[in-house]
Amino acid sequence: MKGGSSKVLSLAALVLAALPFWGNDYHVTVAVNLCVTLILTLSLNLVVGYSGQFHLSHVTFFGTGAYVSAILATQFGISPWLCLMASIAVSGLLAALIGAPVTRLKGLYLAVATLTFSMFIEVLVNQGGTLTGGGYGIQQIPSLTLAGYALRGKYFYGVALLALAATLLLLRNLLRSKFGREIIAVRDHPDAAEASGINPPLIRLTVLVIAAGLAAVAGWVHTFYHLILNPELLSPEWTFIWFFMVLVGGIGDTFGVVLGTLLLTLVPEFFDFAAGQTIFGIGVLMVIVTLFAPRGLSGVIADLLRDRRAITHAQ
Amino acid sequence: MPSDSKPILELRSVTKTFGGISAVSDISLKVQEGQICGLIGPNGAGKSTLLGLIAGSVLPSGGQVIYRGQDITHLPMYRRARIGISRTFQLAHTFESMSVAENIMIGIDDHKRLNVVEALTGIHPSASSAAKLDAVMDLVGVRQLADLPASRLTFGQLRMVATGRAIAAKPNLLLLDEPAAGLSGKDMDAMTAAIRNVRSNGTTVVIVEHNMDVIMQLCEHIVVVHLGRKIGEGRPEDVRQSEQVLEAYLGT
Repeated sequence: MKGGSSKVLSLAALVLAALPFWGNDYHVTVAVNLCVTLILTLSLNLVVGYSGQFHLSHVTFFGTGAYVSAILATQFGISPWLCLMASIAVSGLLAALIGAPVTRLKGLYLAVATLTFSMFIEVLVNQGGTLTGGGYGIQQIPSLTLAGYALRGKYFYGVALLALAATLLLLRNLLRSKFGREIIAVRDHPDAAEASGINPPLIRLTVLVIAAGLAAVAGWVHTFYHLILNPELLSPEWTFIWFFMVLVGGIGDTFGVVLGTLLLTLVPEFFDFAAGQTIFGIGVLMVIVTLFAPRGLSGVIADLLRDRRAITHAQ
Repeated sequence: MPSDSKPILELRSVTKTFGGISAVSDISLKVQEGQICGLIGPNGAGKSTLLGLIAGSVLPSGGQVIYRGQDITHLPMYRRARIGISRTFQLAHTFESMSVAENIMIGIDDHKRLNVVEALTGIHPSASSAAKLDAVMDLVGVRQLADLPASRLTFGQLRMVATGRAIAAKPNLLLLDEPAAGLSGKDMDAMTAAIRNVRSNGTTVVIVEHNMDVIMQLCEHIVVVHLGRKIGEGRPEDVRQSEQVLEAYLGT
């Protein structure tokens, strides 16, 4: 499985890296959006999958990252590169503020508390007057520049790919570290983790802050690719869509999450579904996955590979 | 063990009530450094609650818990673990999505520091703990299982892994909640050998256990509890002959 999944991932990386040489603007936009969505589902999976917390405010950290970048660049003329730092910082701080009081909540209580927070922030931004642009959002965001050149369109695509690669690398390091073990320990058995000297609320909160920082990076990429912000991007419905991608792919499994995100992003795009059709399709798929493959696509693939190996063994 | 030597742990009139029902009432006891101390009593006597009060998973309704001269009555469990109090649970409570080696690593790891930058960049300056890990796995006899996920172990193996995790922290005070329950003869021998080994390295051990053979073999001092009260204590041979203890156990 490990060898197979890394081959698939390398192939996907190759296709993605070669895209600007054969793709048109539409392809590049789809690919940038895919990078953004992958950063979001991977970071959401860190919270819901690896640390087992049902936080439903991921879109808020994404939106905060996007808005902080847009506001600072447009209204204060701050360099987009500095905006990245500011976005991560503000989003992480917001996660610490909402996360701290709810670290002891579990399951549905946590889900409802964080969903409500997410809705509150959406309303706040929509009523934000000239600062957030209210219902009109923010237009005419300046481009990212590197050594005097504006990075737009397919030139910006490299930045999006780099952000995705950095996310994958950071998550891989994290999960292999002592902190990674602590995250799993707290998820599996908080009591036993605490008996070993781990402070579970601190671990949960730190995971949330890291995930919020990554979501802010996705927001920054979104802002400086599209150069226009629509307040609709703060809609809590996005959190659910990313959550479904995680569940369809296989919660708590990086390869599965990548697969689920690719499937649910590219299939609707390929068949040119309307938004309503996509939501309907995801709903039907969720029911099927829950009933027949509770471990998601990666679970199904792992089972198939195991069966094939068993058959080869028997022969 | 001279009785005037310094106790590593002392409970002073500790009481725990759960909504009007007292699980532990007014228990005082001392555990001497380097001792293996047994806590026995019939089912529902309050032994596990008492162990929880020492470990910090249960906070007392009254009284004091003193560890090495320090009042730890209100210290949370993770802070007690960091000053050398390690415990196991009645159910193994292993981390099922981790391998055996990773489970033991949780015991070895120093959880006082949380260095996020180190974790994200993958740069770990600290020396490898491979030697420590192997030593602990050998001690509890699970080295050949090192890479297996805990979810695929037998009951006895899980118990050895959980005990190994507690031992790996090199505690000053090790609390074991029914370490021998459900173990086969061979596993039982390995468990008692591991407990003796830990004690010979200077760790004080408190054991809650129903298996009297194990208790009589291992312990120098035994505390008997019944209906939340201490009804006797002393050396194994004295406790075995105490009328009050026989009465509590046999109900005569």
